[in-house]
Amino acid sequence: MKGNNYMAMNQEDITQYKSLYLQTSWGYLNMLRKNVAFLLKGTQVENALDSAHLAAHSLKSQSILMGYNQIGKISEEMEKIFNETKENKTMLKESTLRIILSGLKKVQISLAQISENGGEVDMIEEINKLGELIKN
Amino acid sequence: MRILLVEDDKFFREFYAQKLREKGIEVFQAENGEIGLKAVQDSVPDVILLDIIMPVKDGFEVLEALSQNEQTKKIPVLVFSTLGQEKDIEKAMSLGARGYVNKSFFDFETLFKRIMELSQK
Repeated sequence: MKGNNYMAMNQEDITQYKSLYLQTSWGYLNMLRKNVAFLLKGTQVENALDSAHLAAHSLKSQSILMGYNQIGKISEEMEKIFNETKENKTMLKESTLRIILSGLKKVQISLAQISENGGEVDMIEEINKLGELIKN
Repeated sequence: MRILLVEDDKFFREFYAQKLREKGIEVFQAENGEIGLKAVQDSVPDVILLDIIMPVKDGFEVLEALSQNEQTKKIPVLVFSTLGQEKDIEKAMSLGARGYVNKSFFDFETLFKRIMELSQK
């Protein structure tokens, strides 16, 4: 991905830790989906924001280390949005949450493919849309 | 050499603990700041590797608690950071952290060297 110079683990470590990565990543994905649903309903907003921020942060960090840079990048954009909302720098609109859900769907597909020894799907559209929201 | 690794993410905890053990380092793990502070009371480590964003008690709260206790304020702490945490690192350093490593950029030799330097000071 353009602009990234992430240094991932070596192949031996990736193979050894892939199962644990998938296990924890599914957990973070589910945590994100659940809390985005709360945010869409407008319920438990403060807790939901904290949990979504933590999940996006963790998914980003471990995906980058494993070399799954699309998941890492989209999680990073989500983390920024949740963080800016927490700090009252931005309002979380329904349209933003819908883009996040669309991105999470692609993360889900990617994790399923990775578990079958495939790769990530292209998420550049959602990554760019979320990135534009941060800039604006 | 004894290291306390305080990190909520199981993936990072297990990966880094294993790498450190391969270097002959004794590693204790804590999954949040509260458990980490209890572990420090039970057995003082040579170095603490501390994540910042954690549930229950975050890394900033741990740094504050460590600095307020005579027995723990000199334990060197390396912050376990990741991309986009420049402000967090700055805050952690102001609270007494002695350095930071980016946990998403795997450079174990640099991490090991920093740990050895801190443990000998």
